[in-house]
Amino acid sequence: MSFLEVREARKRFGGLTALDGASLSVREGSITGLIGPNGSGKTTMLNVITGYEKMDAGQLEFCDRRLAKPRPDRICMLGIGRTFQLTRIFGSLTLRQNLVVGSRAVPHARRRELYSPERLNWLLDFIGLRRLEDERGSSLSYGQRKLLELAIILAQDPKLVLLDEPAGGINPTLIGHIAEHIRELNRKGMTFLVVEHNMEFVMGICHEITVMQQGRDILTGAPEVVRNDPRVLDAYLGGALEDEPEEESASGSRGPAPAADPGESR
Amino acid sequence: MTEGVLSEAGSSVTPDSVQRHRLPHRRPGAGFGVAAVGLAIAVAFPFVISNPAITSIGIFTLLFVCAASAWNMFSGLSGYIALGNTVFFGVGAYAIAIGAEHIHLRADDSVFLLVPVAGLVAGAFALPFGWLALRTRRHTFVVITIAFFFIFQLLAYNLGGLTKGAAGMTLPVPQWDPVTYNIHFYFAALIVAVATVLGAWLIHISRFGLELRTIKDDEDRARGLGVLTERVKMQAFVISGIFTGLAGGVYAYFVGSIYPPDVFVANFDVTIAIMTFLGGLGTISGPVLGALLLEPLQQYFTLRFSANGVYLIAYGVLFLVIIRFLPAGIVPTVTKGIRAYLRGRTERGMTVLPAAAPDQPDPLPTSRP
Amino acid sequence: MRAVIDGVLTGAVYALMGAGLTLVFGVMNIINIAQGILVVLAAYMTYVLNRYLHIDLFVGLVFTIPMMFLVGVAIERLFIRRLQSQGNRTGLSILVTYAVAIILEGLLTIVFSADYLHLHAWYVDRSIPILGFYLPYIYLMGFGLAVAMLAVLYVILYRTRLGMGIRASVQSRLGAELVGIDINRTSTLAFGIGTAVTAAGGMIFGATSVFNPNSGYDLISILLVIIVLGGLGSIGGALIAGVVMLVIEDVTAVLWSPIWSSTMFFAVLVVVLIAHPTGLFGKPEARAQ
Repeated sequence: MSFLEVREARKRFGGLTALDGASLSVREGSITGLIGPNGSGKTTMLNVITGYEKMDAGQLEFCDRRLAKPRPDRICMLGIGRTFQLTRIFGSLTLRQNLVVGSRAVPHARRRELYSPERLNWLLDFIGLRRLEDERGSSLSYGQRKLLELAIILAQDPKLVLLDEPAGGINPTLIGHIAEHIRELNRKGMTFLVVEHNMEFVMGICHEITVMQQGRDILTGAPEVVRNDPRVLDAYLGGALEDEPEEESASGSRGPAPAADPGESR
Repeated sequence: MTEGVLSEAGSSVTPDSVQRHRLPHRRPGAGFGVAAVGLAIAVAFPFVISNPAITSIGIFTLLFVCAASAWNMFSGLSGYIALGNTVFFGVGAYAIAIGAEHIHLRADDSVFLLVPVAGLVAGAFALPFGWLALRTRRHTFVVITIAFFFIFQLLAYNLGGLTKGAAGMTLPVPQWDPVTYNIHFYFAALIVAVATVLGAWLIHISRFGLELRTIKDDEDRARGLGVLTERVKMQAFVISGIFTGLAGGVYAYFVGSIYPPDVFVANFDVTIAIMTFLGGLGTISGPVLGALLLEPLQQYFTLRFSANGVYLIAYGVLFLVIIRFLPAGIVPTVTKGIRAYLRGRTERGMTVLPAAAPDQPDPLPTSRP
Repeated sequence: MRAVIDGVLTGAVYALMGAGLTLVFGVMNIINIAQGILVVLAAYMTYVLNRYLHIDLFVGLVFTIPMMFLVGVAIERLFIRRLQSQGNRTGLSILVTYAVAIILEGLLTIVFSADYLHLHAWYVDRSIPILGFYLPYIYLMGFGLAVAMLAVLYVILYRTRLGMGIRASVQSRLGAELVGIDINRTSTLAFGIGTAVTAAGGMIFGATSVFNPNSGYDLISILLVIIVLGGLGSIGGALIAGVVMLVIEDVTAVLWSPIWSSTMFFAVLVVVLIAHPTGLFGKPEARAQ
């Protein structure tokens, strides 16, 4: 059974072609990476999968089921969770309350179990923010918000988690923690699709990586394969596969470039 | 399958119980204590003060407590600023007037039985109104609610057959003892106000209220996570309308005769909005406080500066001052101050950190059930 | 038929004022409720110039347009600027501009009392026969004035750097800022332009109907409907909506009854919104509010 399958996705924004027949396949139980230079269509790909944008053409399949008109809430109910580059949490709610927001998307029968106080405690411990459980979301730092956002998704016990730049703008230690969290959840069976610029991060945790360029997928393979392929080096404009500096992407889906390392500022 | 990756042993506790968590250092008792005292004062008030002019002000104040709380239920929590609630007030007023006329009730306490009906009628109007208005995004939403106010005022003028147009409608005038006349209305207003604040409190602590607040923070994300935003908004809007209609009903009976510009008033919504902003948008006690402070002031202005121009200027300046200096409102500002103070005191004993922690979370959690 | 012509002629004037209002929304995301009373203020200004200085109504525009522009700038800097960082800008802006509006109304009442006034000139009361109808001069001149000012507005928006800045801000406030446009200055100027048009509107309004400080409410209600119908932020929409609405209103008054013409006004709005929640040409609302 194919787990997540995107075939020949096309998307244009006015004169700009974000997706030009891109295809993507995610194996169940894997951590799959999606990389590519700015403007290659990575975030747009996430957006069309989760229904935040509509594909002009192409096919989307999840668990062998064709998804003709994905909508964010329906996608969520199917068991696909997603985080955003600019974290989206609920500032006026406490951390605990934040976690509970997604409870309507899970089947009624599982709600009690998934949102019991014990489990919520566990989630808060998992992201290491239990002691802040009654603080408002707005008081969290950038990195803490990323963790909270992840926890909100995890609370729904998704089958597949799409992470949009999870390592973006946070310090190395925390990046390490996040990587560890992902690995641990993956060991327990959760599938991940990670969009990232941070090469070290991607190479470190992904089983398989798809490279995108100009709206198309140009290569898919294991990290070592991808790392050394000349096409990939080419795609990154002749540079070595180092960290890309944060820039405004052409697809316009990112907000303003953070001024300094956002890990320090809030 | 990956089902059950993160499942923990279930318990019989429902998700709703999570909401009962209080913010740190808040003493739940304090709020109730204040409310109880306030209620006691309110109940005793008309017996202590017998001057009908003052009790009238009391009645109007209570009605505004109701209206402001009702407004806050929807607009304060969801962030959709509605400026057409006067529609509900007016509909409630006319509902009771029309009802009283057609049912030929005796002019006594039995007319008050129509007040809940007035509220429900207003709520019924909230359904199409809300359906239409909530299809739009916030900016357009505000304007549409204003447009509805104008529409209803015009309808009140034009549907002469029903509303008697500009001539207005009168309600039966009870023949009560002049000395205690106001007391009947006062308690009706008090009941309505208490019911509204109670409703506001229930919403606030419920999951419904939580979902409303997610709409304010990030509606799209909330919807993406499964919150039924359309339904929640609609429900809150209708509830808000019902309570406002109650106020309109009591008002109509109290003043005895109503005219379109009387109950479909331009500055009604602005007033309750300012009251709520003054007290604290989104809080429970905020609108109450705002109404208690502003309504007597408003009445004073009307009595003192009857020369129209000065009254308007004073009003406008007051609004601007409030918006300028207390954008968050009194209650949140004071609460923050108290919390900061208490935090300073407990910092030695407990290690509850303020949230200015750097972005390093604790290392991998050690407790894992 | 006559009603249609009347509607078009007066509609253009309202459209002009609505354009100012919608422009301000587009650039700043705020709704200037005071626009109604500003029109009345302009009418009073014209009255003063006319009555005491014997300046012709149209000539008076030379004074009133800059004056209203300055009034707008003053309001923006004094009251609106403070709202910059607030969360609920639009809602707050309504409250703030409402407060400003009633202050202005109060001032006008004190200075001029609540008596109704009317602007007079030789062309106000006389008509000219055209195509078989007797059209008051003032309507035609008002129309011409509105068209002229709209043309000027067009030039400003599409041929000057300021205009480009304004249009950029309408499309994306943040984006405009990032390419170096001074948002504050652009906002102030846009607001000023938005109020400057009330000078013309006020003069025509004062010449075609009686007014007093209370007239602001009716005006703002009409203008709000026009800009919502046309789509918030769209000047073209405001133009079309203005003309269409006024035509409908006048036609209803003739065919049905004047009482219902105002209600019809709002009813049309409601119908359109059912079909198209963002109005005819609404500014594409960002997905995240």
